[in-house]
Amino acid sequence: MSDAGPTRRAVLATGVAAAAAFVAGCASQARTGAAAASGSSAAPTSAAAATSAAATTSAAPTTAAAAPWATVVATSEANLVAAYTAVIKAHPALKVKLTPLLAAHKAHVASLASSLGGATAHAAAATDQAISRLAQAEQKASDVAAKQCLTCPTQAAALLGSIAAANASHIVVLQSIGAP
Amino acid sequence: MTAPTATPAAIKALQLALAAEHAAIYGYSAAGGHLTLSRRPLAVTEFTAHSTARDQLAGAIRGRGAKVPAALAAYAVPVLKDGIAAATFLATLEDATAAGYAGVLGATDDAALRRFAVGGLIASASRATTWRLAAGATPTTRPFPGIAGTPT
Repeated sequence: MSDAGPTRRAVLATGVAAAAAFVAGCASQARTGAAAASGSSAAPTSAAAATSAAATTSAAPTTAAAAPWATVVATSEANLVAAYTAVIKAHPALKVKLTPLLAAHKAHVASLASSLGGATAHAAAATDQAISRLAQAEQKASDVAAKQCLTCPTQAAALLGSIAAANASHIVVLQSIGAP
Repeated sequence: MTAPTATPAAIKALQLALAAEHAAIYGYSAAGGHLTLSRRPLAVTEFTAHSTARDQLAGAIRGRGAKVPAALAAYAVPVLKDGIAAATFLATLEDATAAGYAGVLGATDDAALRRFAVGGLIASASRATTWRLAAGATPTTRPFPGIAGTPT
């Protein structure tokens, strides 16, 4: 996602209403620690929420306009939530190490309280490939947040920079899983 | 660096970030010898990265006509009884530099400064996680590096 044009932003903005329930769900899960305590039961729920949010995106009417910087970053973070959820579901052995990273992305989405696009999450069959793809998605999301961080309003710059940094630090964790 | 001017808030944030880098450089020097042999090359690399960041911060402050804070003669270093303690300590230094860079981000609209600061924040958070992994600490990551608590 090198450059999100107005058209894409407009499309994403229509997802605000559908996203609201998902964001609220993420926030409550993150704050109660449910993600850490019961990842297996929480995972299908958020996956279903992400899917329904994605499905209604095209039909949802335009509501309050989200700030472009929030929309772009929230979208990539929401995609990471869905990606981690799918990988944890497919590879239960990774649950302990990946759940904190998943919780962080849920917190990122909640902190932006904005819209998300379609979540195309599917876990690769092989563990190492699934990890590799998560690392690629983290890098991409980190780049998105870092880029938006350069031009966003002052009060959001530290948040977006922090999200970019969190994503980058997740790559370190993912690489450590590959090389124990 | 386009316009070599900055608000007092931005200057203050840059000075705080530099202070954190001074402390990190001292801390790496003090803790490096306590690390296990296999970790020392990494510590040397990161010491160099912090030194470079220090010089860049000093240049940014000087270029904006402000006072460049000097390093203190010494900084508090806990008793480091082994490599795990050393790695844990290095992670705290990285958390501190991350906070310094987040402070810069929240204090300026200068895109060049933000680009520098977000790079420092990313590097610090990644290194902090590297050291927490080395120390066997959990959690290894922070949801919002450089920012205390969860922003709303």
